[in-house]
Amino acid sequence: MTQTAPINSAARISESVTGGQLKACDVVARTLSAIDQLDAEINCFTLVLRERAMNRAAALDCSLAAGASVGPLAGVPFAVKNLFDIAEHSTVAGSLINTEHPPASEDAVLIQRLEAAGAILVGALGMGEYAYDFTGENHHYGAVRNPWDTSRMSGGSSSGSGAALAARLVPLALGSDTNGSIRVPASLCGGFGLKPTYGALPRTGSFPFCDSLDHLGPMANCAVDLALSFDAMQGWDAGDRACVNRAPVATLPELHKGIDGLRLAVAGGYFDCASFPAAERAVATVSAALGVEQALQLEGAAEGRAAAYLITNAEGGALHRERLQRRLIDFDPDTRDRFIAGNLLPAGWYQRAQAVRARWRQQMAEVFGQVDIIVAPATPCVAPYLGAQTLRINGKDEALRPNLGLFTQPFSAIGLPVCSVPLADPDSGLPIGVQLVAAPWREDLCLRVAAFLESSGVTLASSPELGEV
Amino acid sequence: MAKPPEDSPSWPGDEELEQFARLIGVPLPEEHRDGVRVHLEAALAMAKLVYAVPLPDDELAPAPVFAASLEPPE
Repeated sequence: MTQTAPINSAARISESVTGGQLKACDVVARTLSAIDQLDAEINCFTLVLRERAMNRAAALDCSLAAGASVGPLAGVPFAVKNLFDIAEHSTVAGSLINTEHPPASEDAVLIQRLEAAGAILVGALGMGEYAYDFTGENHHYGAVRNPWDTSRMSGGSSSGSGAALAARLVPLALGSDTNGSIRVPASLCGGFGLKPTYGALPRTGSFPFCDSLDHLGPMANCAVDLALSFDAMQGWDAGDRACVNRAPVATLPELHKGIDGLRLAVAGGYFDCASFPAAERAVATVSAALGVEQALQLEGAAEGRAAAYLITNAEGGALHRERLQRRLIDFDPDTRDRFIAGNLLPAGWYQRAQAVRARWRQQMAEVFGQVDIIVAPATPCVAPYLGAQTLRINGKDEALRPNLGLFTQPFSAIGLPVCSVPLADPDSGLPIGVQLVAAPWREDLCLRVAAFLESSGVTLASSPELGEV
Repeated sequence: MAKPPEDSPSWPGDEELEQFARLIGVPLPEEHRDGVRVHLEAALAMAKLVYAVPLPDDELAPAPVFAASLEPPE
């Protein structure tokens, strides 16, 4: 591993482009060149927008030369999970079937907002089919490989987003998270990921999975870049009925405030990591750095996770019913059987799951009367090898796929904001993440603690060795 | 407190499951039946967990809220 800070952080690029030390055209050209050289090994890009990106960079350089203000993400290249609409391209969502969809008429709202802040879209990234995945494997397009060890999983379903960041191909990516799909690849690939509060960022112009649980959010290599991009994307939009019409609160000015005065606790009970040594070490490291002494049982987590499982299966299955009827053999075998099963669940189970979800929300609301941030593991393990099917839990082999989201699913079930921060696991030399969970609408607190851990040298500060670019 | 679905600890046999799938209108080809069954059993385990939660029996379960107007809330 090379011991370097993230040299291509969005904040640094923007500062250099705005200050005239870098041209946006050069940044984008270098990004495209890096993709050309490294993506064959990682398999994370499914679309590269050369002409569009270079044209936009040239326009941005012209604006800057004319003295115009171009925004806080000036010249920052970014890429998006391929469930985001990109004008003139079909929104694939990791599937074969959607390649036949007509091209999108315009960019997703979050792409528009990032570009309005000066960022430059360079392409679309691979993902698990229809976002029903925690592994990064995809029957149609091949696995997105983990840049730390290409024989290992990148995590999913925002697999391309996690891998592109780890390979330092882009400093900023967008993902989606229904049950952990930002936080799982962030953990396995060693990135920072922010799953905002449910309803905070509009999903307008993205291909859905499960309306009750779908979130969109940024992934990056440092907390500042998460804050910069989250602030640029905040705000209500009429295209998403779940989006809450609430005044944006800037998180960037809060980052330097440290952890003084924050009430911190570690998640116990359901989140106990005795079976998972790498996760246990990571949580212990973060807890020690934050001086956390209080452990909370978080009663209701297992049932909240079960509720999320059923809601996802039922809503996801319903979304794809007609496609299952018409195009069964064109599904990825790993998602097809789950979508069929989701259609067969009794309606009462779904309704019960919604009620239990609401109860879990109430239980956590009471917890947040006592604490500001909860520390929890992000994944039970470091990146498994590609093709792995099982995970050892309490001495028993359990199915790997659903259990990679064992610790993320309870929090997205009730829409809490979570920042996943990466650590280096000393035993394996691979990354593993820790979740920082806050009360609804307190992304600022998650990011503050993430920034503190970063400035304290606790988080991963190295990148995988890849070819010279 | 509602009882968990202990009376039906497993999904019905293949023939019944196929009839059910026809009723719902989803395909259930023989070659996918075992794969689907794995996920149905996983869902049943989750259903048992959510039914084991004590919930009051005199409250409406919070459904996704339907708004009569297409206009955004103020």
